[in-house]
Amino acid sequence: MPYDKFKITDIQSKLNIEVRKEAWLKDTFAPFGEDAMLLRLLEEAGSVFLGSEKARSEFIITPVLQALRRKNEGRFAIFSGYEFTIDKKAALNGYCDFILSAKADSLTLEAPAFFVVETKKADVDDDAIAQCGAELYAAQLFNERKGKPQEAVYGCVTSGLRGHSYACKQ
Amino acid sequence: MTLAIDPNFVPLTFKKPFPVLEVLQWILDMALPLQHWDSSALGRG
Repeated sequence: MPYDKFKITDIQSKLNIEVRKEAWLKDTFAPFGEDAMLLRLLEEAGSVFLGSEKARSEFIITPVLQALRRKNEGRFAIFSGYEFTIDKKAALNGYCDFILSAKADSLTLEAPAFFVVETKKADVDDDAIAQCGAELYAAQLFNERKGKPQEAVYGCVTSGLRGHSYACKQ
Repeated sequence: MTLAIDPNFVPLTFKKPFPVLEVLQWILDMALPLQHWDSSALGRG
């Protein structure tokens, strides 16, 4: 059962994850600054048919992540469409739309993996939350196995227009 | 383990994407603090 088959009840019963609402995002953030290239790309995206998850990933999500990378050159890596098989027996296998990790110069995912993005073409539903939750759980296992356990890993499910944010904590 | 779902939407619009980037930068700074950043990676490849 890959990540996209998980239901909320599965991550609670099979992965022993407690799911709860918690306002862990701050209210205010330091200004990021304007990124002219991102503005241009998103403006162009407005004229593209965004009827698939792939289109939204390519024309909205990727430009946003690349803007983050431009400002933090060499600090982290972006893996897109990454096969993230951690434990097939536990059904922790499948593809993540995006995973961000340390080691910008590596060709393979290095610990810590700290952010997961799942793109959806419609509004976020319970199944999408469960999928992202399973991937975050797998990221925690990955980091532990690599000797770099994290207090929390983060993720979001987004349609490119709206999204939810998640933190998977020990 | 806990999956904490922030009930607040993170808005991302074509006209003003920066709130999302501000959130991502905050998460990056928590996950990979600058003092642990191996800046020697810069310029490779």
